[in-house]
Amino acid sequence: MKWFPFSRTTLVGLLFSAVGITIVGQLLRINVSSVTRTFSENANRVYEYRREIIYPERGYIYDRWGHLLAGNQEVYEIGVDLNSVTNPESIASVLEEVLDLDYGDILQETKKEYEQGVSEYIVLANFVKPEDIARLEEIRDSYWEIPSSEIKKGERRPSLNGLTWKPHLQRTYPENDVGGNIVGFYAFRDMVKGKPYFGVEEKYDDILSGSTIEVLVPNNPNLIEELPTAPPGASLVLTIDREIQSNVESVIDRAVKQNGAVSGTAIVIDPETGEILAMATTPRLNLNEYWKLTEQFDESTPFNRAVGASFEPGSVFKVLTMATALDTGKVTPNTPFLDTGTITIGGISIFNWDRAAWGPQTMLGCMQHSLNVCLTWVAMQIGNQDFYTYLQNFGIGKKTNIDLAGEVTWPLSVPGDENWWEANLGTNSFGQGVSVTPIQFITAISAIANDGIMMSPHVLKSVIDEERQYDYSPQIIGNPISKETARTLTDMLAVSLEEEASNALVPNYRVAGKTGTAEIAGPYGYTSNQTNASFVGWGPVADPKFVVFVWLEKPSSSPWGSIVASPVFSEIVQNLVTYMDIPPDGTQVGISER
Amino acid sequence: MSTEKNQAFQQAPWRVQLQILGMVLLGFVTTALVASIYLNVSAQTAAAAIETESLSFTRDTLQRQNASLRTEIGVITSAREMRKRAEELGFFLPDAESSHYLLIKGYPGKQTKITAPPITQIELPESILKPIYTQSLWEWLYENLVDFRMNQYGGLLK
Repeated sequence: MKWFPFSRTTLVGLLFSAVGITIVGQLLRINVSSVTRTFSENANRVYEYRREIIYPERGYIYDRWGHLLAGNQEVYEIGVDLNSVTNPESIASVLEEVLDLDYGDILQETKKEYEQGVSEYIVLANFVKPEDIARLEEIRDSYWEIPSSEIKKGERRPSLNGLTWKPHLQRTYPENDVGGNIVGFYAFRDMVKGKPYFGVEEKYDDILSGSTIEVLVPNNPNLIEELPTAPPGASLVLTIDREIQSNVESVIDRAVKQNGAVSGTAIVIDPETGEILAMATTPRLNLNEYWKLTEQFDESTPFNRAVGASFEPGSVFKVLTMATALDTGKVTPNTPFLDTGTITIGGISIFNWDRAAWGPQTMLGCMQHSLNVCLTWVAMQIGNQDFYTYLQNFGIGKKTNIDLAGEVTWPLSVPGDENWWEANLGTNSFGQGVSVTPIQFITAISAIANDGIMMSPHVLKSVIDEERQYDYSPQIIGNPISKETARTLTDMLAVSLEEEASNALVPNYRVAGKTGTAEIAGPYGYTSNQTNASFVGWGPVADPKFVVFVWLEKPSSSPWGSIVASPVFSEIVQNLVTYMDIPPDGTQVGISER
Repeated sequence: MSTEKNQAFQQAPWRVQLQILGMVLLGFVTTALVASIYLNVSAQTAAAAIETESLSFTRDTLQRQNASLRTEIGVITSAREMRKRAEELGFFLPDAESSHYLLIKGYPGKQTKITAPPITQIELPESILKPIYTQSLWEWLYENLVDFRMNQYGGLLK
């Protein structure tokens, strides 16, 4: 044994050391090799993090009392992870039973081959309600509880393996179509490219939507910190009173139906603040079924006629003409005028609505009987310069910039324009040859109801962001006439209604107002059988709290505003005073004292 | 003679071997101790992280449920529903003649301001996790070492 230089113990030690060194060497070699580095990088990229897009909750929309007009509801997307499916027939059968989906279609989808990066996950259904998901969970659990002994030989265990459901929020409108033209809608069906349309949803999308966040979430639990959340969008409180809105909609719907009108529009505004209390138009869309938009609205029908349609207002426009004449001092309520039934201006003859001569009149009589000849004379007394300056001061021809999407305007032709002729002064004085939108017109009229001060019309009352409420401050946008003129005209129009025994009168409340019947211009000129019938009024006269404008388009029962629009005004106001807690004129107000 | 003396003071070979073995074992034990601490901290971090993730999911679920419930209340109390229920209960909208108005001192009337705004997400500080759950063992040791030295030397390191 002398030839062997080591003892047996040393030899074993050396062997173990060699093995150890080999292992360590191999570990080092593997760790520093380029293949390992590439593998590690790929693993990190694919498995260490997952990319997630966090959508913030869309802000809520409330009416002025806090009633919800737009909210969010939990729904689910149902999909199938093809790599995990063990029994496609079970999935197809269950989805047919629970969600009423087509068995064949589902089976075809779930039987697709899994292919990494190409065919991994397929969406089978979306916007599924939580109660349906509860039913699916129940079935899934029941399948797990089936004992193996009950599974026949050759049969596969029923299983929903691979079927997944992911929750998300869906925009929901509790009031359905009430105030739909104001609220607008969010096209929630398109999860990626969905966006808001019309109304405040579109106008205030920036603050309602919040900011989407894209984050990398580590799969390695050691790397996980708090998961980020996207702050929800701000909520809006509107000036709308849903009770008034709902009531006005009911009244206008009935009026359209009873009078065979093409459409109806009614706006209620608070003249002191410019707050829109109600804005009803037809047709209206059930916002929860916004995809039916094209069924109800053709291309020429604006979503919200109150801001998106312009029309020739007719005799209601005489209110602005008379306001101008009174404010410039050209006439007083008692200024006499001899109505001969016709007047010539710019080479054309103007006639009264009944083509009759009304004889000696005052300005009060001219407004009461809505005499075109008289108002043309009044406009001539005012003169081009002042007449159009006042109209511009009333905002005619300019957008009101109301905070609703889709506002349009029709330019006002003034002296010097190519499309202005001298006769325009006459026709414009009684609301023909001039176009306004309902919101433009009611904004102008609200100046008369508010002692000459014109307020910016708006629907936003406040914004709630991060639990703080920011109130919108009413803004003055003009002062077209004096307080005295406004009160004189209001009194004239109140007396006018009372003496006429108008259909617009409201029992126990003194209101001022004016009817309008405008012929509609067609390709072959104006037609008398198709009109825009309207009424604008405000009250109570002593301290106006509301202005109401009603417009019925092409009523077939009667062309006259005094017959079809005035009663609508009266009905709206009778309900309005109750909703707004406005006591009747002359009511002995009791004082409750302890 | 000197050789003999040296030999007299030399430790017994088994003692030397025992010392070497002891040192090696000490190394092993120390390594095992550090590894176990590291493993323990890592496990706690992972458990906390998983719990955090789970709580995040719970929070998201509760937020969605809150949204749903709020909307459900909106549906149940919608204008049409409320009118229908009111009519079923025999209520009706009064007209001006059947209404009696009383002036009540100090009553400001119906207020438009929402007294209970919707609960929006409360923004938390950047991270609610304590550093102990996120830092590595080395970072923890370093931090504590710095703290220890600062305590030892007072303001010298400041």
